Amino acid sequence: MPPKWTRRDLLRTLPAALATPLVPHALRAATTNAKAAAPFSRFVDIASSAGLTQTMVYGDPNHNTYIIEVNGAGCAFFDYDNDGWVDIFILGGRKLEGPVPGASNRLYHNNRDGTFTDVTSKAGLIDAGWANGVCVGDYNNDGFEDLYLTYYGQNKLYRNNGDGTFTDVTAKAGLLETGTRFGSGSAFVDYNRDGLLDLFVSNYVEIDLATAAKPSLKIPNCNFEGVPTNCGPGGLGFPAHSLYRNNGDGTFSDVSKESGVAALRGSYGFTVVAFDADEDGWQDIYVACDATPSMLLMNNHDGTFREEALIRGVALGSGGETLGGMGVGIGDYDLDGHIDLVKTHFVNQATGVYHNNGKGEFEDVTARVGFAAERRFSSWGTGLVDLDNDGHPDVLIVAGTVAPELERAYPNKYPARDPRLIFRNQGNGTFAEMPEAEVGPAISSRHVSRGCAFGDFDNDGDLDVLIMNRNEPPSLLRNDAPSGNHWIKIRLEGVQSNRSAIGSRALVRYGGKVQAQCVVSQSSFLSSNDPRLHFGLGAETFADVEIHWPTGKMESFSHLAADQLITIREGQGIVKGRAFR
Amino acid sequence: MLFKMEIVKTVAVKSTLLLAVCFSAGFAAAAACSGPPALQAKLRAHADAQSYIDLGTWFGDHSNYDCALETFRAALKLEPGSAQIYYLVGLTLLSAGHVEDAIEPLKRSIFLLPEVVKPHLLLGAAYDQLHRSDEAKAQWQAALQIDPHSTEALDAVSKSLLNDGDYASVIELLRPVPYNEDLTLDLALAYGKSKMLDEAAQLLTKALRAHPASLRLSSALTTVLINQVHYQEAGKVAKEAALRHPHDLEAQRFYLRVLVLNGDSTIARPLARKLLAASPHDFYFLYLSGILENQAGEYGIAKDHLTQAVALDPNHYNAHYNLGVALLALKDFTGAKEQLEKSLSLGATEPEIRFKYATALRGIGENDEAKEQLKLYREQTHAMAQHALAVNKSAQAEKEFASGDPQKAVALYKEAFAAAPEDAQIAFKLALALDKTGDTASEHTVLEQAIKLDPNLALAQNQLGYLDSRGGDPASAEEHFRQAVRAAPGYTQAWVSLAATLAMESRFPEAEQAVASALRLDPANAEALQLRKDLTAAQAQR
Repeated sequence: MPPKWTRRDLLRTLPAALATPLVPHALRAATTNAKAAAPFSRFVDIASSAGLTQTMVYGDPNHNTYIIEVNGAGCAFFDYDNDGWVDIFILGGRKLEGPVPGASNRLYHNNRDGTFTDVTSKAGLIDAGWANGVCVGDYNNDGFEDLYLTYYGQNKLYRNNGDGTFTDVTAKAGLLETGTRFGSGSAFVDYNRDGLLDLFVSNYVEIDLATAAKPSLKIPNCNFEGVPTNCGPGGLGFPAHSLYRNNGDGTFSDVSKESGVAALRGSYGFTVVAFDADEDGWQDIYVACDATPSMLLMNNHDGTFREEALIRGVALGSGGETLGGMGVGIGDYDLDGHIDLVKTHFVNQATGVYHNNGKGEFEDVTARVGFAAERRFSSWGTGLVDLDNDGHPDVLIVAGTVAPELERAYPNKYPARDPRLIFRNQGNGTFAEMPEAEVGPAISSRHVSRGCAFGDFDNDGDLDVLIMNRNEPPSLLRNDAPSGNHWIKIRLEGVQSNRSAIGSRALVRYGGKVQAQCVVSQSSFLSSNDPRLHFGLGAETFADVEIHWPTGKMESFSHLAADQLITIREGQGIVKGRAFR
Repeated sequence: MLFKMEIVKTVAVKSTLLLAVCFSAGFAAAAACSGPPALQAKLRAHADAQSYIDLGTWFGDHSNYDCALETFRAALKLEPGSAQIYYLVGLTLLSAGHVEDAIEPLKRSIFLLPEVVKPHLLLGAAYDQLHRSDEAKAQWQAALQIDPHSTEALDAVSKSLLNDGDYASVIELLRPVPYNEDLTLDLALAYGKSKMLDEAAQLLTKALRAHPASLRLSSALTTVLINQVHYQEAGKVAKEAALRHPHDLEAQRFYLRVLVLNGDSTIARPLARKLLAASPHDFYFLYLSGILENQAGEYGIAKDHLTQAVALDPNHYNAHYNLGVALLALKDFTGAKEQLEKSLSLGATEPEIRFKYATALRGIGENDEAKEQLKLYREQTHAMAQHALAVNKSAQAEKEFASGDPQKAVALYKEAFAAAPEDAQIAFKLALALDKTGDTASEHTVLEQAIKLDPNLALAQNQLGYLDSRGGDPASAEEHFRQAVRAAPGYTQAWVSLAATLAMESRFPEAEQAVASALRLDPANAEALQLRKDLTAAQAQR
């Protein structure tokens, strides 16, 4: 029986007929309470002078027909040649009509002098498909970091040959997929503690371009605020995700079904971060998901997982609403020794901050810590990292539109190119968004960005930022952190554990504080950071370090001097590592 | 209610019986009814019916219905056949709340002078209040027949059609009519309910441009714009209205609601504070301020506002929900549980409430119940996601169907139906696509599923009847056609199909009845006309 409508009823039902009033809506930037504090870092974009000049083609810059043009892509800081200087890897894409001549993923070798050389071709990494994400890890424990790339199409495993080249070993490794999948996030993770890096892959949506709908006002989920846009992800099919067990012989076995991963349908997967959420010594897997509940796969210690994001408080927004989960920053914002999460979201949604009590139980503290106001941009790559070395991790976010068409209709509300955002840790469990006037042009400049990676490319003791910009060259933000703040970097090398030490958790104590970090193969948005764990120490000149290895062993080291890179090899203590300066 | 007086021609017809009916309302006798000196003087000078009418009207305008009635009684004694006076009596009784008693005098007025619009309208209003809808509709239609341009009649008929869900008829009726605010709003509503939002927006935009001070037009346009997801424009229209009507609380409320909906809290929050300071006991200002303070993390303030809001309107589920959210944030799990339970009991269906409720339950250690709520939450969100998937697949299927690829359409409709197995409409569309591919066996199966889900899906019933008829099962075909016309009495094709089926079984009288029904709906229906000829010929041969 249809309701009896009168004009009064129409007015009365204004909120109910429209977006639910239960969902917290945009809260425009309120005041930023950044205390008139010690100087912060300055960032300078040196990409051009550094030689990162190739445009990363990804879809049409003005109009996106399908969602496959929208998400790419990630990037990585990793040391492929083990010379102690992190190199750069950036993913790119193509256009609907086909690959663009000259466009490709890019590998840049660090020349150690602030410049880089494009060695993509030499390395055997030329490829122009719809690349999405990258995770880095030494899957065969040969001492050289390998790459796993996700695509809309066929994901690829590139084995690092140790001589500056890579080989596509996807088929040989047993990782070929049937059908076309939309590979998204991925992570190397030793889920069964056998010392070998296994592989978890999240997929985004099921979409067949042969039948997929195009932007339309008549089809739900194919428009946004009255503007036809690429369809999805809502309304698109839910994909399966995958878990591959490393057999130790260069091959992997698909254990999705037996592990329980294959049963997880109902989420559009993005960034994957594997870490020990409940500190029980076993790796868990967190997947930021778009427009659907994010997932937290808790390790049952027997080769299986149980999904508990909802009950552990990291599936949804604080109001129970699904959010557009994109990227994940992982760190310890309140210095309580437990790993917290920062998750970037879609426009009109605040970036979420989730506090971990150490038992894998999370509380959404977004509003409490000062993130509720900023909702202007679709946000992607992020890091919970100490940018100014004051001992308190900050948050940097990169942003960019999902639908360039919106800018034509709403130039003020939905600009396509968006600035980077920095939330400075106030040291009291809260953050303050730094105003554009304070952050400098490298941060405030506007791009359509996606992945970002944090690393110290110039080995000067602070964290620089690499950013993938769609249809532009990347940004390489050199961090000029304030002098006077100390730091310590830790490189971990597994022996019983996987060589990359992925899954290790480090606790660093300094000046009465304790900060936790862990080694992960993917975070931010579909990207991979410099694996050397970087801790700002503020005024402290010494630190104590405790390492929890992924196979369960714990080692500790006291009174380590600040301002150095420490290499710790499992069971062997501090060793002479790779060159640093 | 203002007492409107209309001049009506009188026809002298005696009806003492009706006089008794008119005054059997049990009114307390008005001992001393004295009107203004001028009217009293006029009455003393000329104690004719018109003087009594004038005085009675004055009493009515001043809501002194007892005296009005007594005065009209006196008038009726002088002119017992006056349609006007009977109308005024009816109006008085209706105004005084004696709806039942108003019926007879109004009927009398109409009997005496049937070609006057107002009595029909008033009688229609009386029937409507008594929930005698069919009689009400008949009166409004009669009014419209007398004066097709009567805005009151058009408005009354439109509202009746809107209530029936017959939006197409409203559109047909009102589209050619010159501007009138009430009718424009009726037409906009009909467009809106027919999902013709562009047309609604155009209509209201044009009207508002011509009448920018109309709050009703701006409110309606804002609503349409929000339904079109044109939030910014909606905000502009609501803001303009609020500025034009700074003292109109409804305009301010509306603007604030739009701001909250749009998430413009930098504007909304200070505005809410200002409005609340001016009207501290206004439910909407308290409620919206509570939402804003929740969003800003000011849970203590939110709690205060929302506590007051729910005290003012205990049946507003969303106010209870938001109070629950504030209490949860303040770790008052018991209080939060109470509020969220109340919200659910008032009919809230949003899955987020289950989520928050689960959080509250966990807070007080009721973990099993919390798990149950989370299970419900998951089920609801899953159902919503599946629905979105179904809608999307269905839309793609329609595209393929329209572009001449029924095979692809079938595949997509199957996916849509798999995602939404309770959706009879999707099942029916799948059936149509299967029909195009020639797979009538599958079509039949799917149609049966459709009518199982919704027996009133007339189109599906008719199509099944057609298949059964072709398949040599006239009994089943007849049953389906009967179901079709039962569900949709205005479905001409189904009547024709029924008639044809009955004719094939030589049940000519029944067939003729069915044909007659079809021709009543569509006198020019070629099939029905032919069938009638054939029936006549068949019967003649017997």
